[in-house]
Amino acid sequence: MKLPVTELLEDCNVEYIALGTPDAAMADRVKARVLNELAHRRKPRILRLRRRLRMTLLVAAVLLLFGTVAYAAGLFRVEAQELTPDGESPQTWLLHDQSGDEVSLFVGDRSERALAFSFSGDTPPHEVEFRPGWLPEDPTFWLPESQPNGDLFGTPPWDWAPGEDDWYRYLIDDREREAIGTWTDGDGQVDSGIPYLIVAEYAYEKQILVLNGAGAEDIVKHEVWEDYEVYEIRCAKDIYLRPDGEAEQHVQSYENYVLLFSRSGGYMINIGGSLPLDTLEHIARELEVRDTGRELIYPNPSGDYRPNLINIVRG
Amino acid sequence: MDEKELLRRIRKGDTDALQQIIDGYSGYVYAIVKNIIQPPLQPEDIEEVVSDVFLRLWEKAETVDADRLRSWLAAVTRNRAKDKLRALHLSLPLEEDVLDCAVEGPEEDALRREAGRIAREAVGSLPEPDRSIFLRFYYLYQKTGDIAAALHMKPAAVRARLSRGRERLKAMLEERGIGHEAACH
Repeated sequence: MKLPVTELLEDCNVEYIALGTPDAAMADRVKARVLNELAHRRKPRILRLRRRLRMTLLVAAVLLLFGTVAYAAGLFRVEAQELTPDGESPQTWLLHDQSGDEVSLFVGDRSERALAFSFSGDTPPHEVEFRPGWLPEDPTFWLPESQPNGDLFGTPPWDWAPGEDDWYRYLIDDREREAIGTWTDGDGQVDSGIPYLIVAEYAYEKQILVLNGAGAEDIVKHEVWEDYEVYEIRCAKDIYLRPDGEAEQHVQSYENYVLLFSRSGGYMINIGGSLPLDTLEHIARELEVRDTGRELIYPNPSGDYRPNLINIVRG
Repeated sequence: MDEKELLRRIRKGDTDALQQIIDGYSGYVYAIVKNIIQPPLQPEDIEEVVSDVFLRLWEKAETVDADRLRSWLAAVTRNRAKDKLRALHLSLPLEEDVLDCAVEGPEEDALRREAGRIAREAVGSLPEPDRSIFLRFYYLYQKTGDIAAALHMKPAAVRARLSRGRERLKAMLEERGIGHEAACH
């Protein structure tokens, strides 16, 4: 393991060390830039509210005139809750829905804890594509922007290679890391995990996004970035190994997640992996996302809750 | 300057208070950014990063301890400057000064954190001026010539004390079981 000395010295007390000299002209330029940015941050919210109001009035006018259903800008809401094990059945958790009723969810992959996100809105979500502005290393596999016929699950031709201007709906760095041991059942090598995966999830009706191995106290950051409600989570992962093929060993590893919930688009970008949270956050902050305009409808005739694991797993 | 009062006002949205902080600390922040990113970047790039740091202060004022404002600014400045270099795929300074320890595997994260804690303890245990020299060089990225000038020493003396600091750091890591002697160099 390489330990750069500069990296070891994070967050040191340097109160007594003076550096630099006052430069009034430079300070004035910095103040001007900062104040301009703060003013600019205030304006777009006001402009967006005005645009939304204008759009709402226009849509109402269209409805009135033509009597047809038109797309109305709606908001998507996200709520996190820690699930409690349903003592009755294995691999089943209890969720409290919006009415406060308990709902039993069969997730199929049990850990000690689970964090669930209900993500819902009044209108169907729109499909999105993304383009990374920064990555710590190249991806090993990707799926390009989806086709206009709405084929979400197609794969590219094997001789297709991405270009700099390409957009994606799935990106992963799945490169092999050094093995740290074998699984306890002796089947296959274990490595330190997938460095990163970037994929979108959507606010489908009654879909519950579940992150296994995490609890409420693992939410490292919960904040708002423009349109996104952002959760940064450090999720423990238990690994049971036989490092030398003999004695069983339990180690705890971590997977980190930066989840970007779009409040206007109904999509969630999951940037997760074994890389440190600040690296994943860097990827997230530099990621461009675009709305394809295609509505996604995932029929739910039974009306039941549908759990969907968002963990990044390597088999 | 009463940092506590200024931060209190910043938390309430007072931009005049933010401007006073910028007047007092922009030179400090500028110096750190310049140490990290110039060359190859230009003065306007430095000022962009400096501005980002004070915007971050505006956003995070609730969490900043007024008694450690300078340290907070230094930490954020380092991160922002390094992000700038990474965004342009440029190499970071001093990354080649590494301790190479034979520890691998899923415990790397925990060991890295423990090594960081031990490193801060090791630096804290250094006598002056060794501690100042070590922090100026490895934390604030100041060049040995500038450190020598600031502390009225010869550059060779600064380099010798840096070497001593690194040896002490390695010894403390080894004492605590981070790596082993044969592999830690």
